[in-house]
Amino acid sequence: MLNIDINNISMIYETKDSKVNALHNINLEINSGEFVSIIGPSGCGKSTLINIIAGIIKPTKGFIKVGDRKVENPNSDISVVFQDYSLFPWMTAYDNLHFAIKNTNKNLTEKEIKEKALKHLEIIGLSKFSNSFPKELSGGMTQKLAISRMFALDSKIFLLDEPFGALDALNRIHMQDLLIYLWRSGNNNQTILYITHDVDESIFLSDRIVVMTPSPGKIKEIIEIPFKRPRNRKELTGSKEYLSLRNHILSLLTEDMKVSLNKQEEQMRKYYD
Amino acid sequence: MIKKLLSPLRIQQIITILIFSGLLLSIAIFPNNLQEYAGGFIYSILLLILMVLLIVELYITKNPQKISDIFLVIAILFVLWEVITRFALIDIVVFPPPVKVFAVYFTDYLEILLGIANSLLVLGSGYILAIIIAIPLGLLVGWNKRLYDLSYPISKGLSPVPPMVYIPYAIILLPSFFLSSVFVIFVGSFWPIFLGVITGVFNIDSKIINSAKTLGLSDKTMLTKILLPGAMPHIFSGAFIGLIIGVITLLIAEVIGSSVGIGWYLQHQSQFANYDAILAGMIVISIMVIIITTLFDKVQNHVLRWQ
Ligand SMILES: Nc1ncnc2c1ncn2[C@@H]1O[C@H](COP(=O)(O)OP(=O)(O)OP(=O)(O)O)[C@@H](O)[C@H]1O
Ligand SMILES: [Mg+2]
Repeated sequence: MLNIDINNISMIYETKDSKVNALHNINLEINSGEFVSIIGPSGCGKSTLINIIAGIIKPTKGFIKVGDRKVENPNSDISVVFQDYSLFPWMTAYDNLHFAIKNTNKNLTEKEIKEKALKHLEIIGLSKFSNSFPKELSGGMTQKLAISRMFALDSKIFLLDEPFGALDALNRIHMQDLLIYLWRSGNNNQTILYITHDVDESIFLSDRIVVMTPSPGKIKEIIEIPFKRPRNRKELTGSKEYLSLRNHILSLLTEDMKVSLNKQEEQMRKYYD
Repeated sequence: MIKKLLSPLRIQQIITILIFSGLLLSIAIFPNNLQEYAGGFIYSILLLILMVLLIVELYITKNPQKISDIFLVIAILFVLWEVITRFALIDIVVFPPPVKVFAVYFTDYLEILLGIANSLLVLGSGYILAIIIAIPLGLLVGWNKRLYDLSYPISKGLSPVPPMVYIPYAIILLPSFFLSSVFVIFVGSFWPIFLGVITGVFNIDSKIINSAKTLGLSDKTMLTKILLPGAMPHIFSGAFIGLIIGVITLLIAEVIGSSVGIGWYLQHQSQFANYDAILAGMIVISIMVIIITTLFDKVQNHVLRWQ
């Protein structure tokens, strides 16, 4: 169990002829074992933030602490599932798990690695596909595998960047349940930071939701989700509290949209005049 | 039922077999001296092999149309060859009939076989050396920005230099012509492979690299288990170009200065204007290249089966 301390992070991307203010003074503390979602319109810097926390890119300003460690480089105590591509396409389903487990648990024997990989394939119901390459799996199966690889790593912190964004509604619900099941059935309750576009998904999954706004990427509001776990999707979505939370988040998101729509309209008007 | 048996594809296959059989018959009818008997004998064996190959391939292939087309074209080429030479449409000394050309294999088979063996040894040594050196070097250069900045302009300047340019130096500096040819082939195939590896590393999806980084891999694992397989598609394209350049360089080197090898054989025969031997040598070279590239494709399809 590890907590994440996001301390005054700013990120400016400099390209040849422009500067993008992707993140501006982000401060956030995520407790160990907590499930936090980040929601916000496209381009508000969500992926950038995840990459900074994972140590893949260096922020322009500020720092990240994970437990007592200052994040400078990628490290196997944080594992990441990226927006649409995290598996190695040249490895079979089994090899993907085997490779990840082997390289993050240096003290396991070959036999233990094998057993662990097979067990994880079984949990997600992909035993039959252990020799298939990622291209031979459906989108849902690929993401299942990516999630299961993440849990196989024994990391303390999981970062997920819209892992189910490309799935249809039914598969998505199935995957959310799987994620929560794996998270709660493990012995070490990992800290999860989860990025999504989907308001319902964020409420169902999270302890807290961070709403962000773009240009520059900032935290607009942090919302506590009071519902006890285990949560029942049907009961939850019918409750008054749920609906008012949902409306609140939607209105936060659409406020931004209105602003940007107005801006766009203004520009178009200028252009045509 | 009959319709099913006589699909257009089936008719095409029957026609092909008939053409081959016709060619066989014509060999039996026309020979007029001992040399042509020998040539005719080898030619008919070749035709029989082609027919058997066609039938066997049709049983195992997943793409019968492709196989049928290839064999039909081969059959038509033989017919054209036969027609052109029988009616002497081109001077038969310059463009001799099949029986004459195949007779060469009867008289010169030892020279030709030794020549091929020697050529393959030189080509194999130079090419494999190029692969062994270009791949690790390319991975390092593709991964390390500083090395890349240093070596990219150098490669850009050196890679278009035809490898033959190095032949005089190689002959002076290296103790044997064998080593010189190996070196020249090495140089010729090195650059395309090397540049292929670098391009391959650059083209690996950054998400894959990031995902690998979060696993906390050692540098060695990163290079061998991530960069190498990730770059493999481009490595294969580079290696194919390298192979073709290697073959061309080999033949030129042998023509210029060797006293063995299939290229030398061609050069030697052309000095005596033995056009039947030249054609025979050219056929051997194309068959050799076809076999090598087919093997290459097989390896590539297996290694890249994840794509
Ligand atoms: N490597 C980069 N170079 C320059 N600008 C970048 C780079 N990566 C991201 N940006 C810019 O930074 C901003 C934030 O990008 P980011 O990918 O973090 O957004 P996001 O919230 O994840 O969006 P989405 O929901 O579409 O995935 C965008 O305006 C983007 O154009
Ligand atoms: Mg993103």
